[in-house]
Amino acid sequence: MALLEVQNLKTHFHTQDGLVRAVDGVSLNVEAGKTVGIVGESGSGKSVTNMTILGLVPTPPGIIDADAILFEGQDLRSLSKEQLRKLRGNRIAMVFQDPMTSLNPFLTIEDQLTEPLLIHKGQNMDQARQRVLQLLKEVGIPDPQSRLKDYPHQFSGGMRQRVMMAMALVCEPSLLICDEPTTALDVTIQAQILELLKRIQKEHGTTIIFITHDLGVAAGFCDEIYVMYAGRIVEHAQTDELFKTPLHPYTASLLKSVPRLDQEASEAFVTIQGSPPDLTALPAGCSFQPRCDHAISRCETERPTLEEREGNHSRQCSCFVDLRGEVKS
Amino acid sequence: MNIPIQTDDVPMRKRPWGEVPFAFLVNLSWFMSFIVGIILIPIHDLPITAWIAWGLWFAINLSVTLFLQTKRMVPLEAPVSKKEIQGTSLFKDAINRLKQNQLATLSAGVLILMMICCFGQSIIAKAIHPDIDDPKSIVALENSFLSIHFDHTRLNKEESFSPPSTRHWFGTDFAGRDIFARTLYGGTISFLVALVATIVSLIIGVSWGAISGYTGGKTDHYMMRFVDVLYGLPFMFLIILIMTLVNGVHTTASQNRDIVTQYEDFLAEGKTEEADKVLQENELTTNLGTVKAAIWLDNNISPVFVMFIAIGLVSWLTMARITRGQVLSLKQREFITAAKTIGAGNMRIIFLHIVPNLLGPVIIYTTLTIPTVMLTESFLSFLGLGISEPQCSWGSLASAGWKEINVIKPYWWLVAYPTLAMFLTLFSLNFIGDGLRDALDPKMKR
Ligand SMILES: Nc1ncnc2c1ncn2[C@@H]1O[C@H](COP(=O)(O)OP(=O)(O)OP(=O)(O)O)[C@@H](O)[C@H]1O
Ligand SMILES: [Mg+2]
Repeated sequence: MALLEVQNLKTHFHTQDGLVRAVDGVSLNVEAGKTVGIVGESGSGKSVTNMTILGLVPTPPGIIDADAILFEGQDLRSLSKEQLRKLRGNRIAMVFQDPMTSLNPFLTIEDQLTEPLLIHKGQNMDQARQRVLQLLKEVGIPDPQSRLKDYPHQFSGGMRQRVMMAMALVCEPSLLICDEPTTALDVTIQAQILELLKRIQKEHGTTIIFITHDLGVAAGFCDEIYVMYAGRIVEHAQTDELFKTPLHPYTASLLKSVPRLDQEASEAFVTIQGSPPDLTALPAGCSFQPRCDHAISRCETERPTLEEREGNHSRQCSCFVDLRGEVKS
Repeated sequence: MNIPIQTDDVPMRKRPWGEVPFAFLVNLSWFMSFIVGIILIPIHDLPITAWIAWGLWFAINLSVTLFLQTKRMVPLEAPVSKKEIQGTSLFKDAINRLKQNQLATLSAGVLILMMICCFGQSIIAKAIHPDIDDPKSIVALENSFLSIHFDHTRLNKEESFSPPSTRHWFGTDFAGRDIFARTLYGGTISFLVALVATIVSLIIGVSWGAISGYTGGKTDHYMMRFVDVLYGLPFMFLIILIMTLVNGVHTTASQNRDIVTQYEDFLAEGKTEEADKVLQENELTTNLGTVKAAIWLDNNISPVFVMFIAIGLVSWLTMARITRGQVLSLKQREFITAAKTIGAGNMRIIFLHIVPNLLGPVIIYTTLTIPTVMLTESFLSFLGLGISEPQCSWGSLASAGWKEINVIKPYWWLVAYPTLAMFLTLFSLNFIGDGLRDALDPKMKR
């Protein structure tokens, strides 16, 4: 059974400009122990999807609808706010993009790291401190004992991201959502953090949802990848397959726009033309159609749905003209 | 070419003055010597010995300072090991950082001295003059040292408007009351007013604003409309109304207290007829209940207390608004979302994560509130609504003094001393507030 199963999740926002369809029918299937990537350009709804799962989208202005959000066999929609709160930080944890701003500048590291333990496990400060020390060592903070009383600004960005990870892991969650955890860090630190995540996953068997817009990072890190565009999943595949034979034109152009070292300097650097769609006024047909080179007339009027390809459950694409040249009926 | 390395030379550094031991006491001593000097100047019959003593004090200050100056160079030690800083909370940390700020510590010292003097006067006055609150006891004259200098109700018509002298250090007012004692006594009232306003605006204002801003939606709407309504009420008018009522109650009570006592005595003795007669003579038959209530109120609630309530009632409004504004922007910050994702409850987020981040603006605003309420109090006293004679506050002293002064009667001491005291207090509060704000921000840590 899947650890997390989301079916047809829709998160819309009422704004003055109209209804923003931030997430519009997303289905995810996350097996325990796997690393699942969600890739897409900025504004495609990756963060909102996960915030909705955690129950952190305020309603109003949010409007949430889903056929199912099952976590460990439990439907999260049927839980009360209080029950959801007990799940957060305990069974599901989250690491954010910017370690500079996601720690409270006025509290010491110790105060912030022990907090989940005090909230969920009812431990006293001493027990919590022991656990925190052990985890800080594990995430690679040198001499953790002496740093407990430090404030976030006394740490470097990479260190803070490690602290954030320790904080996410204190209660041994079964699902760890990483929302672009390496975007704000430089490349060497990025590699270290990814290395750390891998090790943690191996040691604790944590399932990871890894959100990123860097396909390069996703390639090296994820078992399978969901590609998101304008609030929908447009393609889903095992990582190897996705990179070998991308089916959706959007995936293909994403792949092409990753700079590569083996590229000839004279070769033009491919970018995706046009700009991301306005979520309040999505086109009637495929959302990507205005920017797509392969579009046919049908794409303008009819909205493609995510369908299995090659009879494989984990090979899905939503496109009428996929890149193997097959035109779907 | 190379600079010769002197191996036997220990690297030295010059300590900042604040790090020198006893620097705080020396600073305070300097400051107090200047204040005392200023106070001594106008005393016309000052014996020369006083100036000699003052000169001695000055000389001691000077020599101690010069001595400490020679101790400022110290070896450049290794940075203090982390172990020693262990176990510091945000608060202890703040105190440590506050200690580095000389202006703030000096101000705190001045303020504390001032409070000791003011509250000390109350204690002394109460001790030498136990029934000081009874208006009838004022005539009693006593010529002891303590009574002359510390009894703020002591009258002496022959000494009215005498300038600062050895007998009355700050001079006297129209009734010959000692301005020194009255300035100290006024300080108590002013400090109490400031204290009430601060506590109310910190506890009610901050909680109200934080909860309102954080919860948002309808709750926020109604909580803020409530503040708006209180804001919209003509505050001065309201206070004047309340005060007039209180004064009315006080008059009724003091006029009829004896009659009611007499009536009750008769009743206790079982002489119902005489009791009724007393009531009829004084036309109290119909409204006996009201009068009794007025007497009860007057016995249990003093007008000063009512003034405190009135000032407390309005002093938190702006604080609530400021807090709410801050919280509205704070709750969008990522670390609040992060706190939510670890499952922290609303109250935990508000009081553990948001309130510490509010300390800066809250402290600044508190230091602004205190002068405002002190001035409000003096305005009320000026209208004759706040404190009533023989009680006084800095504001009432200054405004009463101001009314006495004109070109023919240049009794400057009536105004100068209370104003100086208020000025010193407000300045100190300001510097302390500034220092606290810096100290409470962990990023200011060196
Ligand atoms: N509270 C809200 N009200 C209105 N619109 C919102 C709200 N929250 C998110 N959105 C919209 O939802 C869309 C998706 O946002 P989301 O943060 O999920 O993007 P993302 O894929 O995580 O992008 P990035 O890679 O930049 O983090 C955005 O267009 C955003 O404007
Ligand atoms: Mg995002």
